[in-house]
Amino acid sequence: MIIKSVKLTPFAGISNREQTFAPGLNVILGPNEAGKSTLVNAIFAALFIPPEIRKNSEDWKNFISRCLPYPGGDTARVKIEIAAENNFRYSCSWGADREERLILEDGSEINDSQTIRDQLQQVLQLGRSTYEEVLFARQEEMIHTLQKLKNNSEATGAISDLLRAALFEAGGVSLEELEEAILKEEAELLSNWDPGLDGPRGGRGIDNPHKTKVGKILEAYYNFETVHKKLKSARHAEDEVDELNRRLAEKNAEREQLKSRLSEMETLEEDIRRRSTLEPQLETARVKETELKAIAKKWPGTEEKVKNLEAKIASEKQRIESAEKELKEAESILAVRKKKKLLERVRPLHEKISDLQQQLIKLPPLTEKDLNYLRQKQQEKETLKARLEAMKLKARITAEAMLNLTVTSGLEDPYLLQVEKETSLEAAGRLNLEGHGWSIEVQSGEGDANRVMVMHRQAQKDLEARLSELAVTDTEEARTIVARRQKLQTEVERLRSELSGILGEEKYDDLARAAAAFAPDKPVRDPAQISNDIGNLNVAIKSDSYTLEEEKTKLGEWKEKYESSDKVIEELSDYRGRAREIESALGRLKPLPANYANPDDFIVDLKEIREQEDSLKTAIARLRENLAESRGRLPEETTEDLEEALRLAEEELNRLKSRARAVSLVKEEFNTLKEELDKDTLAPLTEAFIHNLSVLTGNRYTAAQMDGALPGEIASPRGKTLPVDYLSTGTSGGVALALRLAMARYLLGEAAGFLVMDDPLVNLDPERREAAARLINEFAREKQVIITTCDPETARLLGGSLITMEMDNGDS
Amino acid sequence: MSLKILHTADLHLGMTFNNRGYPEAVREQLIEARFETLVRIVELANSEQCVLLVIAGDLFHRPNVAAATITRTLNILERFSGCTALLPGNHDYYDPEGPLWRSLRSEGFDELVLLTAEQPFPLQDYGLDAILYPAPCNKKHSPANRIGWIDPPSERPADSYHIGVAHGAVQGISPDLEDQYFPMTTSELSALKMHHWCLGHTHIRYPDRAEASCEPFLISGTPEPDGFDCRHNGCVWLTELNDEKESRSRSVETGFLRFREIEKQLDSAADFDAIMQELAPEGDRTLVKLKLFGTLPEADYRDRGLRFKNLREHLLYLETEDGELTVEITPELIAARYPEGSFPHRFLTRLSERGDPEALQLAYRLTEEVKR
Repeated sequence: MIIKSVKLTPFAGISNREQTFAPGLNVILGPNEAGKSTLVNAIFAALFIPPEIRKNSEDWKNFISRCLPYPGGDTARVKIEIAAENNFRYSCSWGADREERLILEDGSEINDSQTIRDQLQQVLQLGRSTYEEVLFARQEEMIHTLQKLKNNSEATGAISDLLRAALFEAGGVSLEELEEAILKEEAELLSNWDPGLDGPRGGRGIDNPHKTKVGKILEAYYNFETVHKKLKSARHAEDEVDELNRRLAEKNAEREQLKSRLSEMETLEEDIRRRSTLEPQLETARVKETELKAIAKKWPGTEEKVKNLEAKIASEKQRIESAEKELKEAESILAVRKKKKLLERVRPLHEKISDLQQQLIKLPPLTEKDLNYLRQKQQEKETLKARLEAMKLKARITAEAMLNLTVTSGLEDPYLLQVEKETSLEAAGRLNLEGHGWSIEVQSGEGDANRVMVMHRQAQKDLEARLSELAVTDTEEARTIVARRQKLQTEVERLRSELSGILGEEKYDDLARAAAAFAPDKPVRDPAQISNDIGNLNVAIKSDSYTLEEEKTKLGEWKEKYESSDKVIEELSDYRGRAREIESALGRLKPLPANYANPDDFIVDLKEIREQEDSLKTAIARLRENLAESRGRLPEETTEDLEEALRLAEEELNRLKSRARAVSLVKEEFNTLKEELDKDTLAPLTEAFIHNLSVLTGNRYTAAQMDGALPGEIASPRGKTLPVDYLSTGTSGGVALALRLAMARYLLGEAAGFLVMDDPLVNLDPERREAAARLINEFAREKQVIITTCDPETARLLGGSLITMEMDNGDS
Repeated sequence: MSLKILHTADLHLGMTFNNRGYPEAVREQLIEARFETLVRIVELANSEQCVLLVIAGDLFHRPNVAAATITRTLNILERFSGCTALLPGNHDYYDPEGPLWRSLRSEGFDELVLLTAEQPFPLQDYGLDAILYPAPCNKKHSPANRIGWIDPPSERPADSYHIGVAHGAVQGISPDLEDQYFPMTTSELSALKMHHWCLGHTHIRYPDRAEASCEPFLISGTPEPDGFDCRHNGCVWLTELNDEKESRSRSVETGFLRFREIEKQLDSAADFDAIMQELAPEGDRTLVKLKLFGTLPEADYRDRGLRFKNLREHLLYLETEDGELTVEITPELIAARYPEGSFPHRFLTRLSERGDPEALQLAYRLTEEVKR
C-alpha cells in the first residue's frame, strides 16, 4: 500500500491541511514547529490508533491527548487515502466526537470498527510494532533504532518469518503448517506418554489412568494393561476352578470310600446290634448260674453253722455267770482280810491316844485364858509397885533420946525402929512413922501414892483370888499346867491324825465292832484272773453272735429269695436252659469282624463313620457352592483367547512406539533444518545491511556480525570489530539507517509499501548524508518514502517530491 | 462287520472372537460359522453312513458356555443317525457339577455317550461291537495325561473294536512347550494296542494328508478354522475299520470360513497385482491378514488404499499391516515434488540420507499433507 493523501481537520497544531504524496520519495521540508512531525503523527494515528481508545491507555496519555487541537477544541480528525489492491479512504476522529468510516473505491462504506481494523490490517500486512520500529520511524526513534529493535521481537521475528517464508514456501509448503502437522502427529501418539520412562506420564498406570489427552501409545498401553489384567484374572479364575474341582474330586472319592465301607458294615449292623444285646444276657445267665450253684451248695452248711453257734453262745453265757459268782466271793474274802490287817495295825495307836487322854483328864482344867489373866494381874501389881518405888522419900530422924517408933515405908510391912540419936530413912511413896501418941505420914508429892498403893493391893487380891480358884499356887504353876495340857493335846491330835490316815474312811470303833462278826477265811482265786476269763468269754460271744447274725441274714435272704434250697436248685436248672438258648441264638448271627473286640466297638465305629460321611457331605456341598461361584467368575474369553489378544496388543504398542520414534526423528530433523535455515534466511538481510553500511560509512565498515536480524558488531575491511553499542552518534545513526533500509526492503518484499522517516539524516556528516541520500533514492525507486527535514540542503540532496511547510501556512 | 466313524474335535463352540478387532458383523459370522460346520459334519456323517461320531474334546470353547449354545449343539448332534461319543477336552473339561456337563447329561439324547469317566464304554447298547477307551480331561491344564487307566490288551474281549479317544498334546506333533496339555507320546499310545485312536487338541490334522491307513493314531484338526494361525480349511477324518480291525481313513474338508495370512514383500506394482490375483478367488467367506513390506513406487504406494478398499469389498474381513511397506522416495521423486533448495526438498533429502525408512515415510506423508 501507499499513502495517497492525508487530511488533518484539525490535528494538534494543524487546524486544517490536506497533503498528497507521490509514490516514490516525498520530502517534507519546513522549519522546526512547522508541523512536519504532526503530519507524520496524523498518518500513524490514522493507521494504528482506533477512535474508541480509552483515556487511561498509554496511547491516549502519550500520544492522542497531545494531538488534540490547541489552543482550543476537543476532537482531532484525520482522513487518509490509501492506494492498494483496493483503494479506499478512511477517516477517523478522537476525543469528544469519536467516529470512523472507511469508504471503498466503489463508494461502499464500512462503519463497523472491527471490519475497518481487518481492512486496514489487510493492507498494512505487518503489525503495528513492526511499523513503529522499522517502517514508521519518528525522529526521536531513529537514533534508538537498534536498542528498540532489540526489545521488539515482533519486528525482528517478522523479518525472519518473512525471509523464511520467501525461502520455504517456494516448495508450496508452509513451514508452520508442516511443524504443526509434525507436532500434531507427535501429540496424537505421545500425549501423556513419557518416552523417557517408557510409561504413562506421572506413572499413571491402568489403575489410575489419564482420562483426557490420551495419546495413541498410551491408549495402546492401557489396552495392553487391560488385557494383561484380564488375562491374569482369567488365569486366576481358571486355576481356582481347577483347584476346587480337584478338591471336590478328592472329597467325593473319600466319601465314596466311606460309603462303601458303610454299606458293608450296614449289612452286619442288625446282627451285631442283636449280638450286643444277647451277649450281655448270656453273660448274666452264666453269672446267675454260678451264683445259684454256690447257694445250693452252701445252704445246708449254713443252717448247721447257725445251730452250732447258738449252742456255743449259750454255754459261754453260763460260764460267765459262774465266774462272776466266784469273783464276788473272792472279793469279799479279800476285803475281810484287809480289815483285819488294818485293825492290827491301828490298835497300838488307839491305845496310846487313850492313855494320853487319861493324863489330860488328871490335870486342872487350866486354859490359856486363865493363864493370861494371871499374867496380866501379876504385871499390873509389878507396874504399880515400880511406880511407887519411883516416888522416893528420904527422912532423917534425929532423936535426942532414944526413940521407938513404928515405921511403915511404902508397901512394906511396918517395922519397929529404935532411934538412938539419929537415923536416915528411905521410903517409897509413903512413909508412915508412928509412935506413941503420934504419927507422921509423909507422902511423895509426885503422885497419888495412896491410890497407887490401893490399886496394888486390889491387884494382889485379884491375883490371889484367881490362883485360889484355880487351885494353883502361883502363875508359874499355872503356866506349867497349861503347857503340859497343850503338849498332851497336841500328841493326841497327832496320833488321831495318824490313825485316821491309816483307817481312811473306816472308823476304828466300827472296825473293831465288825471284826467280831468276820466270816471265816478260806483260799480264793485272783479276781483279776477271773475278770479276764469273763472278758474273754464276752469277746467270744460277741464274735460268735456276729457270725451267727451274718449267717442268719444270709440264710434269711436266701429264704426270702428262694424260699428253700430245693427251690434254688429248680431255678439253677432254669438258668442253665436259658444260657443254652442264647448261645444257640448267637450262633445263628453273622460273626463280628475280626478287627473288632466287641459289638460295641463296631457300633461306635459305625457311628463315627456315619458322622464322617455326614461331615464330608457338608464339605462337598460347600465346595460345590464355591465351585459354582468360581465358575460364575470365569470370563467369556479363555486364557488362550486373552493370550492372543495380549500378543496383538503388544504388537500394536510396539508398532506405535516405533512410529513415535520415527516422529521424534522427523521432528529432530525438522528443527535442525529449520535452525540451519534460519541462519540462511537472514543472509540476504545481512548482505543488504552490509551493502548499506559500506555505502553509508564510505567503506570504513564492510562487514557485520549478525545476532539474528540485528547487528552485534560491525567490522572494518581490516577486520577491526566494534560492538554497535559503542558507536558514535553519527555512526550509530548511519548503522540504524542502513539496517532500517535493509529491513524495510525485506519486510515490504515485492509488495507496494511505504517507509516514513522523520529527519533521518540529521546526525550525519555531509559525506554520509550524501551517501544516505543515494541509498534512500535507491530504495524509493521501488517503495514510497516519506521523509521530513528542516534542512533545505538535505531536501535538495534527497530530491524527490518536495513538500514545503511554512510556519505560517501550516494550516493552508 | 466293519465300523465307520466320523472323527472330529476342537470345534470350540462358544468362542467369542473378542480378542481381535473384528467388526461386530464379522464376529457374529465367525461364531455362527462354527454351528453351521457342525451341521455339515452331522450331514456328512449321515450321508457317509457312519455309525459312530467321535468328538475328541473341545467341542465347546469353555466350560461356562451359554445354555443356549448347549441346547443348539445337542439339537444339531441329535440329527446324527448313529451314536455320538463326546469326550471332554481341556477347554470343555469334565466338571461333574458344572453347568455344561450337567446340561449335556440332563438334556442329552439317547444316542449320546458322554465319555466322562476313566472306564471302558462298550457300545453294544447302540448296536455296535465296539468299546471306547476315553481319556477325559478333568481340568484345563495337566502335566499328566489321562490314558494311564487303560487296561492291557490281554483283558479285552477279542472280537470287539477297541478304540481309544483322547484329548491332549502328542509329543513331537503338538506344540506344548510347558507340557501342560495332558501330554502323550506316540509310544504310549501304541503300547495300548488300540485298533484305532481318535485324538483331539491339535488344530492341525495328523497325519497331514488326505488319506491314512493303520496309523497309530489320528488327530482330526479343527473342522472350522478359527484364526489366522489356522492355515487349512477345516477337516474331519472318515475312518472305516474292517473285520480285521484295520483302519483306512480319509480327510474331508468341512470348514466354511477361510483364514489367510499373507506376508509379502512388494517391490513393484506387479507384486501388488500378484497378491490381488492370489486373493481374487477368495470371496466373502475369507478373512485375510495382509502383512506387506518392501518399497513401492509412489503412484502404486498411493494407490494401495484403493486396492485395500477393493479387496475389503469382496472379502469377509481384511486386516492390513503395511507399516513396513514404504513408498519409494527417491531423490528424483523429492526433486519432482519440491524445488531444489526449498525446505521440503532439503528436509526429505536429509531424512532419506538418515536411512530410516519409517521416519522418511512419515515425513513424506506429513509434507504431502500440508502441501498447497
